[in-house]
Amino acid sequence: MKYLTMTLCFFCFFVMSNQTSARKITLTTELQNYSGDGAYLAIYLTNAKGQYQETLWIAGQKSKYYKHLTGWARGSRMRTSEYDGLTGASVTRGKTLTVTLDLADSYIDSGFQLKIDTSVEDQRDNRNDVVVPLTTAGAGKPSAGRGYIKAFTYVL
Amino acid sequence: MLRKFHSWSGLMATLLVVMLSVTGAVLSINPVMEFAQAKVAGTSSISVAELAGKLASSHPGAEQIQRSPSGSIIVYYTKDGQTGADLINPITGETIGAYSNSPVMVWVKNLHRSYLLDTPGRVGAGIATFLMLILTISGAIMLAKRLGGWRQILRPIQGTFRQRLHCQVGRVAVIALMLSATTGLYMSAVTFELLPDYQSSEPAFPENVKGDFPASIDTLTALKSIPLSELREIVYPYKDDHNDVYSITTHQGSGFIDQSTGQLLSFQAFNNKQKLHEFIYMLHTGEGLWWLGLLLGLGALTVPLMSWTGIQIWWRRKRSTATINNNAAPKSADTVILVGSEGNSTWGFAKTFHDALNLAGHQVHTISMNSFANNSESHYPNTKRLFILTATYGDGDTPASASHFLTQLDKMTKIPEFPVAVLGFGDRQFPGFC
Repeated sequence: MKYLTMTLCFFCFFVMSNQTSARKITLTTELQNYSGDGAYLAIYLTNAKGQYQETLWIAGQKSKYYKHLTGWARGSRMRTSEYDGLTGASVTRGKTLTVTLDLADSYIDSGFQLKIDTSVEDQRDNRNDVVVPLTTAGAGKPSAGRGYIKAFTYVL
Repeated sequence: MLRKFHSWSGLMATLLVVMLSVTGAVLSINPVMEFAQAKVAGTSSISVAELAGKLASSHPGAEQIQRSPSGSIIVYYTKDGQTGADLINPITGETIGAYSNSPVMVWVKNLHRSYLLDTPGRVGAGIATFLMLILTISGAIMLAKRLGGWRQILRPIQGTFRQRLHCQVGRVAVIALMLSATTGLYMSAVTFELLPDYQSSEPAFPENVKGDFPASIDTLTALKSIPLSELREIVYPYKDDHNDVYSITTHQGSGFIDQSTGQLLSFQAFNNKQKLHEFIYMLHTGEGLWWLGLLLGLGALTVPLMSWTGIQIWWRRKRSTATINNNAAPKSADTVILVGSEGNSTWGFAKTFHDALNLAGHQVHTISMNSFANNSESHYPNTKRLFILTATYGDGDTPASASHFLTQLDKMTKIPEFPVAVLGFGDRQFPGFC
């Protein structure tokens, strides 16, 4: 019964969220040529105060390492429902990750921020490797990361 | 049987196992080097707060302090928008030098655990580890048999130079190899989630933090009470986020510390499963137990030697298989020669004997003792004499080609009338010789 209610809720949520206007966003993340294994990335949205809103993408398949994506882990509480269907392979150094997804219009030009937390095995975790405001004006302009990320660009 | 098993698994796994062990030996140098670099003497009285206080002035952008199992301290920081890491002297807090992962070691580690092939390679490494374990165990059993039992395991080894080298080196390295292989197999099983999850639950992220202006790190009560030797990692709160906290991991567990009050807000102790996992991990890697790591590394270095001598022994044995020419059919033979041999050398004698009898005009049938038919009257109707050439293996044990002979003999209903002569070979050092 509980499941049924939950499923219905999700269903309604998706139907409703589809009704609100959405548009495509393409996220391009290029990694530095650091020495080490593939990086885990969490790309997510926060409000102006830095409070977690929504997960956009998780690069890296093993959930036992997700706690190293510190800021995201705290915001999302690492709940599976937050990243279900939004995961892919970890990103090798020097490589570029490109993801295209649907994003609600209400997030744009409303003070929300795109953040990326990164982590590499046996090396430091970077909370807020990238922090950029999500605006129409900022679209298409690359911004530098401070950790494993060389450049990050979003196109609306 | 065991010998065949040992040879074939050895031949199949040679390349994989040699790669695993050589890379493992290289990796075993890491903990020793780290230990030599880390200045750990006299750190027992230093608290985390004390060191962090010293770092506050030299590394204002510090974000994370890590203490490796060998005791070296690494501080991760951000300066001018870029991240960096320094190796720190834990007593003075001074920077020893910039810290970075050696790309060569990262590469060797990947070669060791996945042959640089990611998940399929990890499966391969797991299988190779399993073969390694099987080779070690079967080798140890064969050695015990060769020497006349486990109690005689320290007895001098006879044989050709290669055999002695193979056995002698194996005898020394067996414990190290067994430990490396079992712990490696465990780690492989953990990677593929064949074993239940070992991780302790995470401490609950504190809902209510004071959110006041942060206190200076060296004044935080919780950090004052944690000795540096207990520390694994402390992650600083994100700069200018007053609601963020310090996350700390010690040998006992992990928790969060309020940045203004210095109180430990929540702490989750590691469970026994995780402690056991960490212990096995330490046994395998030598991280935190550098001398064991080095011993295991030396043990692993014997593997290429064992493989090389093993292949040569196998090849020689295979080559020394004597082919019996002009072997008469059992029905027409007047003479039957039975051979019991472990290492094929008795076959050499049998062949010489067979050829000589042939030259003297006899019809000779030469077979292994195991192939002897128990209904000898009907199977060898024209036989006038039977020769048995056999060796003992180890302390009076039956050689491989005679393993079923006694049961065959028991089934014999009618005792044949032809005369039987036995020529025995063996190793004089055993009481059960011949």
